[in-house]
Amino acid sequence: MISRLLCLPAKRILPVNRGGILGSMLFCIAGFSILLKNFSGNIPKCFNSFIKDYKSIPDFILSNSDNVSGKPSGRYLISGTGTTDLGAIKDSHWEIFQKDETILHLLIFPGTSNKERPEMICELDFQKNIGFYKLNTPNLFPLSYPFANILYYYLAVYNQSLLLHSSCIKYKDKVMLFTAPSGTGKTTISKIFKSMGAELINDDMHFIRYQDNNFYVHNIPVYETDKPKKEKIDYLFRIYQGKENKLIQLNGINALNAIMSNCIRQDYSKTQINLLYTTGEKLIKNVPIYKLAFQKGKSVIPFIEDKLLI
Amino acid sequence: MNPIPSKKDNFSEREIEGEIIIIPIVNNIADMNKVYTLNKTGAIIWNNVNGKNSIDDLAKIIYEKYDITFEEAKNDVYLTLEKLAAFLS
Repeated sequence: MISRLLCLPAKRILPVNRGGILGSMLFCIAGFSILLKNFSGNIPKCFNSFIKDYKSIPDFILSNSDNVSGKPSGRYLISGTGTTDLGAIKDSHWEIFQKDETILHLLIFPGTSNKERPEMICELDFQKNIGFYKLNTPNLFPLSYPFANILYYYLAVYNQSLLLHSSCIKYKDKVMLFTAPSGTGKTTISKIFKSMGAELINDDMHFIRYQDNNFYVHNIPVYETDKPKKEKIDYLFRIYQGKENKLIQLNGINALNAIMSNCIRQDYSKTQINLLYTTGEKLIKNVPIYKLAFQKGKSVIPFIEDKLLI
Repeated sequence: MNPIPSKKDNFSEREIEGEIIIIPIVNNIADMNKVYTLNKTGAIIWNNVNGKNSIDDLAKIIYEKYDITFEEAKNDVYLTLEKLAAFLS
């Protein structure tokens, strides 16, 4: 299941001329600068703090265009369904086609069964790092779910990064990532740490990026008060809820599986699989990976302090 | 099972410290739940599947490496290849 993004539509329209380019807006998300051109519309509030002044060449340029075809073109690659239990986000279905060697044609449909009229159509070129989109639904913000997740995925693949389902906290100057499938306790454990004074980085999904010989965690826009955060990762835990607290360090293939099974992946291409796994292998060599079973309640905090922080 | 198995082109594999992960190529996110991990014995069997070695040849490789009977080695080869049947022809 694609991660859930809670980006509520904004009530007001933000100015779209920042940075000196008419009708354009630059977002900096996980260190990637994404220029949204020819856009006028509502910006979800969660993106407010991610808007940056236009200073350098963007990592990706996304432009509104009427010339993007609504009919699938090229070879079918993969499709996915985004469902969520959050009322603010509607279900969706998306399909990706390979138009030619480097250009992808992406169609996003409202709901999980309607495949007749896409609400957003895109052509994305990850060699030139440009994309064109056409909206069939008024007031849709292009960087909303599920398009944002798909764009983030490709940015991750080609930039030594991973997109990891995880919650993340900073506690006593140590940055800890907790990864697991939905419903396993990511939010629960981050709330436990937060109740004891930890800073919450995010509780749903993060970019993990290899930068300057270290691995950093970056948050992505989810909640209205979110601000861009970047922290060097100290520990990464694959969590389970258990009857007792238990910590086992993982190595080799077990560590890699713990990470990769909770990353956003598409797995239609050997090249992409190899790029993601190469990043994953580098991650397990640089960051200690643990299997952590934790009891509900605060006992996990002195347990972790005793095992790792003293 | 083909007595001389060969690998298809529908997976990607990674080897770490003598063990192997096999990641299926898929065209639907919903099919993406499963990867296959092979321990060192499974990795030796898999690495010797090349369209030339027969089941008996693979069993002989394992039999000569570990302190087991030839029948046990052959059984290990069968179990491993059955698990990986989707990637074999």
